[in-house]
Amino acid sequence: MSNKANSKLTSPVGMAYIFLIFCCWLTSVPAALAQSPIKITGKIISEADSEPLPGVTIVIKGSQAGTVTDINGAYSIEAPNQNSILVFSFIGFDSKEIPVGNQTIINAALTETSTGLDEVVVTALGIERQERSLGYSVGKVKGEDLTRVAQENVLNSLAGKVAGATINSTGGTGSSVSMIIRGATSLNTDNQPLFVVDGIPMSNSLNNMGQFGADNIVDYGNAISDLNPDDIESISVLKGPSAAALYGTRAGNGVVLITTKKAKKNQKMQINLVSNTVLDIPFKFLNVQKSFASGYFSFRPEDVGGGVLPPVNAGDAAGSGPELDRGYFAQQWNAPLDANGQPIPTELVSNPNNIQDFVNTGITTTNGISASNSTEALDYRINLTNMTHQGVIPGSDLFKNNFSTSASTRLIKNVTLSSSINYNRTWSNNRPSSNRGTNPLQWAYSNPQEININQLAEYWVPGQEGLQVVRVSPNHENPYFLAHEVKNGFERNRIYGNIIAEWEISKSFKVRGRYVLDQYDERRETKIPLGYTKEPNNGAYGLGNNTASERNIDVLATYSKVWDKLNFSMSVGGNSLYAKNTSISNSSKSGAGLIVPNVFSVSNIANASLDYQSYWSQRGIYSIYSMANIGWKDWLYLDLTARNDWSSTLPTENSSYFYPSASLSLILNEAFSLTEKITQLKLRGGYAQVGNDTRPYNLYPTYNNYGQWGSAIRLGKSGTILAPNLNPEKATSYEVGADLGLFESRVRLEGTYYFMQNRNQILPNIPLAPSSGFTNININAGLLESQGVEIVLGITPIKTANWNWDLNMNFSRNRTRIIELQDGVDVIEFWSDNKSYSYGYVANEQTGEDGLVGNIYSFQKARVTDRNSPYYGYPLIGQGLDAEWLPQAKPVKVGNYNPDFLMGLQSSLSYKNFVLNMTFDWRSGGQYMSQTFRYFSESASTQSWLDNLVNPNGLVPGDELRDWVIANADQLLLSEELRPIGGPTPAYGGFPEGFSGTTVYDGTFAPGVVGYHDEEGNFVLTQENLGGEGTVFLPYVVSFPWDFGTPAMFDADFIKLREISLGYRLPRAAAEKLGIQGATFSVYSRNIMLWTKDSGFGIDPERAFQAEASKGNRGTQFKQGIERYNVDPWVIPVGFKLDVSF
Amino acid sequence: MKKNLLITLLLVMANLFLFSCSEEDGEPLPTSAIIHFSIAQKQVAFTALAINAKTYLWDFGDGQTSTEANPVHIYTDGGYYTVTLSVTGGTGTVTAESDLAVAVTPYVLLTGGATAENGKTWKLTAAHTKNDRLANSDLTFTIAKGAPAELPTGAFDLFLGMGEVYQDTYTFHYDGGYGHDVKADKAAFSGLVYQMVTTGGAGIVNSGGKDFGLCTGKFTPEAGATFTYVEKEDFVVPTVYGPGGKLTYPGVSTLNFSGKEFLGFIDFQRKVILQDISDKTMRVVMFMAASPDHLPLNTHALVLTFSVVE
Repeated sequence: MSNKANSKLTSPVGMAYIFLIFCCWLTSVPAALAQSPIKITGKIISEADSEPLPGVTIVIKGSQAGTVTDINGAYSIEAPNQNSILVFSFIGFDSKEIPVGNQTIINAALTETSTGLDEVVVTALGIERQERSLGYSVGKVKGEDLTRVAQENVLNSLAGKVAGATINSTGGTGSSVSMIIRGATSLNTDNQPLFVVDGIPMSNSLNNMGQFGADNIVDYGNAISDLNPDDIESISVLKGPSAAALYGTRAGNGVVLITTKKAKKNQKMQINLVSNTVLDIPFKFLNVQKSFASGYFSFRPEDVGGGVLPPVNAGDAAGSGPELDRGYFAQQWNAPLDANGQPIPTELVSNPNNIQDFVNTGITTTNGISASNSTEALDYRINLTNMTHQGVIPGSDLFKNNFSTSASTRLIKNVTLSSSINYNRTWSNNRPSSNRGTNPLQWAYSNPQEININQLAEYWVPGQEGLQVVRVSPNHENPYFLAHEVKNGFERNRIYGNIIAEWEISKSFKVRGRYVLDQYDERRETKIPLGYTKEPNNGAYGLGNNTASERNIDVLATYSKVWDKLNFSMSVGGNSLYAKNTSISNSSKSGAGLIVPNVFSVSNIANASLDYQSYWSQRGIYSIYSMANIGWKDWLYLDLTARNDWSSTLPTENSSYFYPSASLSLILNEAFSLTEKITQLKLRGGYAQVGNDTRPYNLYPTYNNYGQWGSAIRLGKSGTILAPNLNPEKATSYEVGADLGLFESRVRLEGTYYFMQNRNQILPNIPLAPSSGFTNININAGLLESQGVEIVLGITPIKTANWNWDLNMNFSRNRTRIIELQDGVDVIEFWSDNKSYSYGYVANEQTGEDGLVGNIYSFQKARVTDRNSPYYGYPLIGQGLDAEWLPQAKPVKVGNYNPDFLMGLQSSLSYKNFVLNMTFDWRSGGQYMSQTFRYFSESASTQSWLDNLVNPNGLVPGDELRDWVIANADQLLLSEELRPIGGPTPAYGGFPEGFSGTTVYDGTFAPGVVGYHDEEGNFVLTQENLGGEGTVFLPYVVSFPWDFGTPAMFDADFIKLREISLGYRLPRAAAEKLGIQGATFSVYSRNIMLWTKDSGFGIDPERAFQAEASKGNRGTQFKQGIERYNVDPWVIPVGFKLDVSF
Repeated sequence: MKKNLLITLLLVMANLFLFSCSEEDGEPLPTSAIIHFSIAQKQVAFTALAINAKTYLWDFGDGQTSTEANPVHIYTDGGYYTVTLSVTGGTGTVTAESDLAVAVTPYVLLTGGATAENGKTWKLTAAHTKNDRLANSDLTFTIAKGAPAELPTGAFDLFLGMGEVYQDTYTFHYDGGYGHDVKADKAAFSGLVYQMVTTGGAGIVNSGGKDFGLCTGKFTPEAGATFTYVEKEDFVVPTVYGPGGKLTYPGVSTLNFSGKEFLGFIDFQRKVILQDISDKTMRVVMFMAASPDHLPLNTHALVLTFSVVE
């Protein structure tokens, strides 16, 4: 590796020669002596810990002669003369040059490269490049930054560390984790980047949801979680097409290049033990109300003539009954019986700890052992890791075994053969289900506040075990039963590996051939016994198997040559991809059930109840590609790439597609002499195109089995018109940026602007008029534009012998707009739920549509539009029992689920052997809809809804109340807030109402007017609903405005402490006494919510995903910006990690 | 900046440990007491529904006392008794009093006995009990299709907008006399089909319950009406559920009325089944013919609870 500082030191070779002759002449030293080779020996250590460094390259400057250090860091080399200069270089360390002079022993201490601007990064096709020569931005994360805090899914470790990458997880341990780079650019895929591990493309779809049995939706977690974080040496994130163009088809969403750990050349035998335990302690729960019992009316004893209240029925609305902890008595669920066998009323008390009692502290333990060695014959590394996890939700678990090997050997002179093989087994006896149905948390939160949840823990009715479940009402499920008895198990076996042969034909010509394979099969089995109300017919059973495999064979020939001022390198290669996916599933149809209970076998499903399916697809892509890098005088670099793909999923005539890229890097401080304070100033720019094919079976209709009609078997085509003339999608991107390093790289600034156009989107299932004979059509049109900014700022404010403090900040902002769809289509719908819609409209100045992807639309209040009316602007109200606000007919834009910007901050502070690391993640802007909030508020069970009520402060129905409402018109009538006046008890300002046959003070009213607009647009009043005469007071239980989406919309801004760890490294002397090489102990925590703008209800904004496919099955099986019962409690993890090397 | 963040973290951590103990509130509720009891022949099981109580003193009204919280007392003789409960606790002593009818015949429970000058007045209770339901007129009164498993409190008001049906009163006199007050709306709870057939719809006052075949219809109570109570009989009812269009309910108590009078719900069938009666509540089955195709066979039954008007 060369060093940027060298060019000034290395004056032209000629000068040195003249100097040499001059010296000879001046000192009269015989030329023969000066010319005789000098044998030099020495030892190279790391400056940080004085450890010997094996594998350091030592070359005589200006020659090809060189050697490497052995396992003790020792070397020996012959220098031609005293004027020779030795160059010591090692990956991750700054190079050092030492003139030989009259020394024969040269020891050197190398310093680790600070987070500088001149690192080696892994780029496309696994080629290591100096970052200075790149014309595009690459995100880099070191392995140690990934494993400092244990994460079950490696993607979680990237949160906050890479500018432009958004990481979202859908739930707790084992759930899917989404990574989106530079925003969603495709409207019909899951926008996940391509993951490449040591050249092996890994299959990782977000679509790993499954469902057997009615409303039993399970997230089995995406397959990238099979990667063992402890195996990872480094990660490069190639963000845009410029960086990733060589990966072709799948590079449009970026590429995450993962390099695994391998034995280092000349290292000695090393055994490494890592043990990790993390406790997930739940600490924050949904803000459900805890002070009211079930019921439709909030009776008080004085309302019912004193004494015992009417029986409290747990099946009634959950939070609008009598107030708890007031000394009230009523007959309740599971009432004790007196001597005559009659139920006894009991005191109505709250149970504020129900959810705390229901959930557990999660425990995850990971233990790993690895051995690596480098010998004459073979360099190898073997790793074994085991993980066990007991979830926060009782009964849930997850297990993982990882086995990986890598080895390389020099087969014959100049031919290196290397291989890695990884085997992972991931399994669970019980994954908790999400969404609504069998989700245990849904029912734990739905448990009436007057009932202690522990009464449900023994979930079988005594004497009827296996037949009758204890439940508080026929409408309720037992959360303990769901957690322990509804078993969603799975087992995934995955093998991936490679064989690589590299032949160094000459110094400047190399050929590499690779065979890589990734293959898994996943078996899912769901067992639902009798006791779940939606599977009343002896329960349900399902058994499925999915397999995926992808094989790639590629060859790459590289020619490189260094002339005086010109560096040149060119590679040509080709790749053959073959992928095959299969799935088969057999299950009982939703609600159809089993023949006898508790026998979980497909044979126990009656013919008419059996749902059976199988599917397979295959896909091939052939590619050739080429790349050229030209460097001029260490300050100008040009990269050119070109690739052509032939895909089997496109029509033959369109199956070939070509795309080029070009990027330029200009290092100004090398080209011109700038002030010394500037360590580096680099300008870069790039242009790239990538093409994208489609999924299999997207061209021609195929027949599906539509079940039997009597004895006839029915086959049918789908109602969607496919597009037989599909063109490949084409993304074009432009990227410019600048990198600045100041004060010995203690200040580092990196900025990037990008612009990307994505054409020919393949949009499935656009609705058609049914008169056409079809319901949907797939179109191949449209244009999406994304643009964004990424800024990375690094500062090292403190750097002394004992102290070091590094700060790294990153900022990113992305906007994606729909510019075109197809003629006659100006909008596509992503989801409609919660009286809200996510629409993607084509940007249009006339209609005011901004075209942004992620927009959310919902309804606003209908109002009096007659300017001459005294009620102008007042909300319109329904009549009688429907005295609620009325919505406008058309929804309007109310938010967007994408953030305005993301910021990450990493801080690393070290003092001697202690290191404190922190990663913060700030998401600003964006909204989400919470269906959980809507459902719970509709049943009057959220504290937030109680808090939202307006207290009339003792005013009673009448003119005074009406005057007060009008005096506060700005808040109560003219704003878009939906806040009823009144509440469940007199303390809340509840108004008297008599719907129960007795007068109860739990009335509320929606302020507004009843009436209509006549043909001239004049408002005709029917009735005021302003608190005066004629106002309809409805019980609190019906106060939630169900026809509106916005009461359940929240801002998604948050700041999270992604990681915090305090580590201690055993000093070298102490380690030696113990007979070990080194040991590190650390305590850590992760993912702690520090601040949310608007989460009074307690939903984690990051988990605003709903486990359901979006409209028309576009994109993922998750709807973005909306959630339904995604309500895992917030946890504070506390982790301990011990890392010992022998 | 860094320091602040650390402090935030520590606070979050501290919260975790404080959480579990921050829920208790200070102020105890004042001492109070309510008497609850159930009667099985002459055995009465008492329960003191008391708040902030330390000691209990029961006076059973027959000269006997108890200091248990929940005593079981067997009365020697049937009759009406007044029970008092004195509870002493944190904020002093409170006393509760309750009347009970021990081993009193259903007829006395219904009418208040010979000494009740104005008889005993009942009305439909809005606080529906677990057994209240809109049922089919079959042998076990299964829940009608589309009807809720349990009627929520105020169901006819809240969901059907016919709250006035909870207002009408029905008075039973020991001498067999029967009184009826239809209140301000001058209408009675009735079957929609019955009203259509008998008045052509002209009698319907409030059709809020039409989805369930229910309405209110004009009714003028008859002067000098009487009722008949039979403690146990095999009651034959015309119904679509029985073979040959009828069903026999064996060994049930029934109430029948003179002229056009009825209890609770007016329809073709006016004789009702008295399922259960105590001093304060009674549960009655009222039949309804809701299918014009099968008239006069009953299709449905209203099982509803009445409570005493004090």
